[in-house]
Amino acid sequence: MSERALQAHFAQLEQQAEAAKLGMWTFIAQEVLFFFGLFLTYAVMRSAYPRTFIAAHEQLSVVLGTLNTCVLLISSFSMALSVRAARLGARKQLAAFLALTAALGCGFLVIKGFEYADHIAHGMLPGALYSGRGLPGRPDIFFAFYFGMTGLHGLHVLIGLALLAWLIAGALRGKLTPRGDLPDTVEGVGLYWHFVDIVWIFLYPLLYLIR
Amino acid sequence: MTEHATAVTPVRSYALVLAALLVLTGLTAGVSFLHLKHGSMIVALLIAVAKASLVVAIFMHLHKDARVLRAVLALALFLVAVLFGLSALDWSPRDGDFEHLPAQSSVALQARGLK
Repeated sequence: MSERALQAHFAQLEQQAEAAKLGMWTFIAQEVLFFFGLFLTYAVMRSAYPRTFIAAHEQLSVVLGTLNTCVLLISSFSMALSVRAARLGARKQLAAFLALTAALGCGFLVIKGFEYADHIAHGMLPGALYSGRGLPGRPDIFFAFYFGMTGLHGLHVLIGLALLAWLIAGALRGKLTPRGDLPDTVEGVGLYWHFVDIVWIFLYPLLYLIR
Repeated sequence: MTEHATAVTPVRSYALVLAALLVLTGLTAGVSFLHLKHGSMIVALLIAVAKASLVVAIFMHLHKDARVLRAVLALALFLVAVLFGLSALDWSPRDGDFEHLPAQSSVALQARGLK
């Protein structure tokens, strides 16, 4: 596993690595369209229920939302340094930055978990489950978007954490050589992690900061 | 191969991008407390686009990666624009403010939308 195998349908290793990156970007392109569907529905319902969305969003904690934004941004920085360490062949540094990225990702989910617990305790749930304060309009619709969008984003973070654990195991097993697979794999997972960060960059103002 | 291995972005560039991202986050949070009437959503989205562009260009290396990768992202954004445009054409003539309607009146929503 330490030496990268050149598959028969590629002329050189560089071309093989570029093809892997192209595949990752193609996946991200369809993820963009997947999340866009949610953002579009959000835009339509927000224009249909303007007062609902403004009243309901005030039930969220701007402090926790902003804190979580910073946690994810720092995790992206750490992920970028992981890719750099992998390219430079610095195995221990790679494992350390991957672990930091994963720790920040866990921190994000823990903070999100506290927020969810607070919403559930106050009956701020989607659709017919809503039993919270009598806010103007249809807060049940706002919370359907809130849980749907942050839930799908959280699922992406969870998948990212599993991928990071897999990479950390690879780095610790000493599979990192400049000609091996690991640097390209770290870069691919990095692209995914940064994309998940970008989704949150848009969710944060739309859910927490609307006025 | 060795060329590829040594061509890494300096840590300083990543650190500057992180600093810019955190400043922009503080800015967008601060602006939201100014209670701008109609501009707030536009400002928030412009800041989000700026942050996303920084992540894509530097963290995801798109500023120096192969052009075909930029083309893939451009295609996705083009499709987003087309789908948003078509949906806006469908939605905007419908005077869609449902807020005064009682809950659970989906029939009334439909009647209003299809009028």
